[in-house]
Order: sequence, then C-alpha cells, then structure tokens
Amino acid sequence: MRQAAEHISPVAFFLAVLSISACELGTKPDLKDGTAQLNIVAVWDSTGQNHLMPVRNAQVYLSSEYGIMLFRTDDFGRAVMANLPVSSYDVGVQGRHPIDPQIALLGSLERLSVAANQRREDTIYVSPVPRSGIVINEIYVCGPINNAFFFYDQYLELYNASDSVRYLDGVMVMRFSGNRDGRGPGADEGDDGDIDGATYVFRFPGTPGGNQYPIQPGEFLVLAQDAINHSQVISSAINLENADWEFFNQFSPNDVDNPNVPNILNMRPDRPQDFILNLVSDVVILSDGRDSVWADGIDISTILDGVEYQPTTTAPKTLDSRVDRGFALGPSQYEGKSMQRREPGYDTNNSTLDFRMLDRPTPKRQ
Amino acid sequence: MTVLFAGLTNAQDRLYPTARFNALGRTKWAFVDSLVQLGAFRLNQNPAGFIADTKTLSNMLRFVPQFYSENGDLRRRLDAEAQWTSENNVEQLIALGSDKVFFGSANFNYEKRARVANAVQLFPYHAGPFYITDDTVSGAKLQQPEIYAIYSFSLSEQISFGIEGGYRLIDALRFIGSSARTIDRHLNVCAGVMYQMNTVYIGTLFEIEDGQEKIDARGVDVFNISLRKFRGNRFSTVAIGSTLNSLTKRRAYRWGAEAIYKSENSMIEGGIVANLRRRNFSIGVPSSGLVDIEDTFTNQEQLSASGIVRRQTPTNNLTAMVSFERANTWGSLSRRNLLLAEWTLNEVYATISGAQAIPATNTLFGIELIVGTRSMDSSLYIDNQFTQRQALWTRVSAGIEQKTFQTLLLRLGIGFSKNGIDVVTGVDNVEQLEFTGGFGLLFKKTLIEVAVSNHVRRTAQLKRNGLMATLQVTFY
Repeated sequence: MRQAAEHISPVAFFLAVLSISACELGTKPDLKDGTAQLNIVAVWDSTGQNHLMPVRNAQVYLSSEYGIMLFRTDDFGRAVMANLPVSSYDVGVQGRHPIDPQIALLGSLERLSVAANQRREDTIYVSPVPRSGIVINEIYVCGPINNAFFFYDQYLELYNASDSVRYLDGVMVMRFSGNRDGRGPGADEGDDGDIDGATYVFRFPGTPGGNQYPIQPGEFLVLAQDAINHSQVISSAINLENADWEFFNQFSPNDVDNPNVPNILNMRPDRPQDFILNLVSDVVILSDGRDSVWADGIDISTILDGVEYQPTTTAPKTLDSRVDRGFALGPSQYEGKSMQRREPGYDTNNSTLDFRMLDRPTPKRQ
Repeated sequence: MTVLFAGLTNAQDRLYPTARFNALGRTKWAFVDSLVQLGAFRLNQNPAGFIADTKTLSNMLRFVPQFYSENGDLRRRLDAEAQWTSENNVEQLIALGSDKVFFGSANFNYEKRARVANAVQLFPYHAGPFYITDDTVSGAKLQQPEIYAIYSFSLSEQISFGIEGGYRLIDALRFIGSSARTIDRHLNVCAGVMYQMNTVYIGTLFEIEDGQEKIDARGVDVFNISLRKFRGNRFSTVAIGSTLNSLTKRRAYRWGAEAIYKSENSMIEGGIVANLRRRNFSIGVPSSGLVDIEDTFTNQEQLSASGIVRRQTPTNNLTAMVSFERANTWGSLSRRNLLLAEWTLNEVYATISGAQAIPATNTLFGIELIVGTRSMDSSLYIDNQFTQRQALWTRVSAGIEQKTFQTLLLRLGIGFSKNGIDVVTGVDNVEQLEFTGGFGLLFKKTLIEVAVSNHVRRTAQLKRNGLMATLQVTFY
C-alpha cells in the first residue's frame, strides 16, 4: 500500500497541474468582422450657387491597414461599400468633369472609423480641379534588383498636368529628412506656415518667374540622380543617359556629370552628396523657388507639389497635410519598383490614394 | 499464422505505422497484430493501458529508417510542390519487472521542401483562417529531433497508471526570399488511469500539448522582406523591414475515456471510446515589452466517439467500427475582439474489415472497406464568404501475406480511396490509388522488414505522386 501511495502522489500532483493549466480558455466574441458598411455620396456644386449634382461613375478609393480597395459611384453619385472589415478608412473620389475632360472632380474624407454592424453614411463634396500645374508624377528610389547596394539609378518624373506651357526656371527640388527632433520631416514646426527639415536643396537654373526652361502640357520630364546608362553597372538598373535633367552637386569632388544633360544644382555647400533619396521612406518637395531660404523652412504657399512615401500603411506621417494628406505606399529596397500616380497628374493632395506601385519604372511615360 | 504474425509491441504505431502495415495496403484493422489489437493503449492512446498491452512482450530494440517523397500539383496553395522526408527512429521497450514497463524512442527527421510559394509558417494551416506569408517562392529544409517515452505501472491487480510524454524541436530554414528561420517546439504530456474488472477495462486520460513556432525572417544581403498576416483569404496586413519576427502559440487539451471488453478466450473483443479535445492557436505581433501582443486567436472544440467490435478465431477475424467526429472552430481578431471566421466539420464513417488465413498454403489475406460522410459549414465573416458542403468518401484496401521457407514473409497490398471533398486540398472528387509491397525476414531474435509503396492522388486535372520506403529492424 505504501508503494502504491508513492506512485499515486506524483501522478495526482501531475494531474492537478494539468487540470489547472486547462483553465485557460478563450471567449468567443459576439461581434463579427466584415459587417461594416460605408455609404458615400459624391456631389459637386456645378454652378457655384449651391446647386449640387451627383458625381456619376467616379472612382472611389478606400484606403486602410488592409491596403486600397476600389469602388465606383452609380448614377446618383452613391457608392455602397458593404461587408468591410472594421477599420479606419481614407476615402478619395475622382470623377471627370461632364464637359471638360481636362478638369478633374476631386474630393476626399479622412479617417472614417467604422465599427462592426455599423452603416456609416457620409457625403464627399468634390471640387473641380483643373489639371493645373507641374506635379511629381513618378518616384523611383528603391534601386534595381541587386545585392550590391546599388541604387544610383534613382529618378523623379515631373508632369505638366495643365493645358498650358509651364516653366521650371528657379524651381527647387528638395528632400526633407531633417527636423527629427521636432515633429518630423516636412512638419510645420512652430505653425508658421512653412515646412521644416530640408536636407538636400537643388535648383533648376534661371530665376523664379522666368521662361527659359519650359515644360509643355502633357509632357513628362525625367530628373536623374545621375544621367548615365546604369544598366552597364547592374544589368537590372535603368538607362538614364537620355534623362531630361540631372542632379549635379557642384560641391562634390566626384559626382557624375553627363555633359549632354542639363544640371539641377545644389544650393547647400555644406552637403557634398548627390541628390539621394531614402530607398523606402522620405519626403520630396517641389517648390516654385520664391522662398529659397531653406534654413527657416519652405513657405507652403510656394510649394508646387509634395509627396511623402512610406513602406507600410501604419508608418507615422510627418509631412504637413496641406502639402500631402497621405503618403504613397512604396516598395522595399532593391525591388526595382516605382511609385506612380494612377493617372498622369492625378492629384487629390493625398498620395495614399493618388499613387500606386509599379513593378517596373516607366521613365518619360505613364 | 496470422493473425498470427503478430508479435511486436503496441507502442510503435503511435507515431509509426509498421513496415507490415505499410506493405499490406494500409488496411487498418484487418491484419491482427499488436498494431491493431484492441488493446487498452492502442484504442485511445491511454498510457495506463500500456502495461496491460505489453505484459506478454519481451524487451526489444527497433530501428526504423524511412524515406518519403511527394510531388505534383494537387496541393494547397501554401504547400510545397515537392518534398522529401527522411525519418530515422530508434525505439526500445524495456519491461521493468512484472508490473512496470518503459518505452522510449528517439527520432530524427530531415525534410526538404521545394518551391514553397509564400508560406513562412511550417504548418500554415494549423492556425485556422490565419497565416503568415511572404512574397517569394523558395525551398526549405527542416531538421527535427524528437523524443518520446511511456512509463506505465500497475498499482494492484485492478488499477494501473501511465504517463506519456514527447518533445519535438524543428529547426527550419528557407533557402532564399525571406530566408525565414523557424524554431518550432512542441511538448505533449499525457497521464491516464485504468481500472480492470474481470474482462472489462475502463480508463480515462488527460493530455496537454503546448507548442510555439517562432519565425525570424530577415532580408538576404541588402534586401528588405515583407511578411503578410492574413485574416481570412482576402484581407492581410503587411510589415516590411530588414528583420521581422512573429510568434505562433499552440495549446491543446484532451480528455478521453474508454471501455474495452475482452472475452475470456479473446474470441470477442469490443470497445467504446470518447474524446473531447480543445485546441487554441494564437498569432502574436512583437511589441516593445517582453510579451508579444496577441493578434489573432483560434479556438477549436472537437468531440469524437467510436465503437468497435471484433470477432476472431485462430484463422480469421471480422471487425466492425462506427466513428463520429465533430469539430467547431472559431477565429477572432484579438485587438478588436471581433469574430472573423467560424466553421464546423462533421464526419461519420463506418468500417468493416476482415482477414482469412489459409494454413495449408501459409497465406493470409485481408480486405477493408470504409464508407463515410463529411459535411462542412464555413463562415468567413471578414471575407463575406459562406460555404456549406457535404460529400461521401470511401476507401477500400486489401493485402495478402505469404510465408515461405518459414523465415520469409512476402507482402502485397492495394488501396483505393475517393473523396467527394478533400478537406486538405479543398478540391472535389480526389481519387487515390496506392500499390504496396514488401517482405519480412525472421531470424531467431531478429526481424527485418521492408516496405515500399507508391501512390497517385489525382483529380481530372491535377495529380500528385508519392513514394515511401521503410526498413524496420527489430531485435528481441
């Protein structure tokens, strides 16, 4: 009997431990995901006298942690977006002006939170936006597919979305990656109407307001970091020897310069590097050059276009929302992909909705 | 004969179908040996019954190297297009006097997987609707040591106890892409008690399993990698970086009970078994603290029951069995406390199996038929997908064993099955045809057995081929 008891005691102890462990149980939630609904009506004031018209057959972009979903409005300007996962959504609408195809009807709402079993309804008032000017149409920064740390075939593509000739004289191209101690790159530190953190500041020749360096309506211009044939170095890299402009740092002893391609020059003598953008996350600003004192921030009213890009939808946004209300979703480094506007010059001032990722860069074309 | 070629121990079949089983068409109940006897351990893996099942056996040592390969298109989307597995098992049974027995095994598996699309988790379908992927196709290799032991002892003539435990470690590495390294560990412990009243055994057991899979993915050279956490089939979140990690935790509990009847002369045997099992899976996301934040959670409750009866004589046997299984599963998004998916699987099947020995020719043959029905009711709420399916499945198998020269056993088998719904691949009307064969060589204290098999699983459009070879050397 004593022998039996010796056997029983460890077994009983073991069973007791197992039973206690078994008490950890999950509780089934009552509410189901996939039951949220967003009903959007897109309208615009066609006469300027508060006469609202539905925006028919417009594209509706829904952006959240799950990526971007596309819908369309019906004849009444409605988009019924049912069976959505619970999340916070940015909604963008892009329609065509019924008479003038050069005018886009653009509008958006941001951070619409929708809960389980909730049907949320809202109205988006869109505005007619003439394709008004020069925009950053494509950003290629991640580098080609390679394992040699090669990313020198970076380029930006500009596009004249207006119906008239525009000029690049004195226009500034900037990278904002400073202001890390404050609210971040591109934030309006001090709320004084400018954005802070410019690290690279390059400038087209000429003076603001000049008319020596035109960009025609509907024209694409490629601004290359180095305007050479990079595919001779890395086979998967891009040939940029026919780029329209080249960033050249005249303060650098060894920056590459293609004599056949005009230069965009550095304004900061303290920066000996070429115009290099971060491969996965950065802020790019194009301004008309009237405010060239970058040290105290660039006046927002002089900015022609600005784009922030990030690798994930959950990354913190820093660029002032008056310049860009979202950020483009970019590729990982060395993936050989680029970010491009959904349509040439398509600009709702929200890069999350305006940009999409391309498997291959398309310099000088959509 | 038989019925009579019995003679090994019960325990091997816990993880290991024997070479004999593999060679005889994988007929589960027809060929009576220690593998398929209605033992107190065999029927429900109750370690308390191990002493009763093995008290007539002598000590033995067994080596079982085994090779398995499979390739083809008929697979799930996260499965490998081809895989090769080498298993090497060493087992030993030691009788510790008349009232205690110990069984231990050590196993080392090496597995290669080729052209695995997107899967980062080793077992991407274990966690219900949720899984983690990357965006690449690559191969992977897995190394898996495992140990397992049973200790069973009698307290008295009527009462016995047993403890069973196993620990498995998998070290896996993807060749390219995310180059994800996965460390998977799994522990199971089971304790049981059994009471014998004359010809009836009544037992109960409690088992706990605990495991986790830690994925450490990093970009090769200078590449960033991206990991997607799917919440259903359509919606996923993505994380991008040079190094990413994730943790999947598993826990399971099983409570089981069984009653077994054996007539005095063992002509009639029967048993009923019931098990209630609860499984939990959770996928975590790394946090700055010590504890990961739970992202998704899956709970499964499974009830299974079966009844079996067998009549056997020295030259033949007939077995009938009815089984039922129901599994209810739900998955939730923990952070928002929302139900993402829910599904139920019901299965009922009947087995009839028999074998006949012809002593004049030293021949034994057996045949087995299984007919079942399976129904599934799936609600993927987040995807707005609702599915109800029901279908029949059947399997028929047969085998023949011929003893010659008193020392040589020749074995052949065939198996055919048809599934209205293959719950593994998700496609309809999957047929599998399998041919098996092998031999056994009996020496005074040594048994050498070899089994080979080839199977083809196909639908009208897709096909997958498999090959298995087993060598089994047993020293008594």
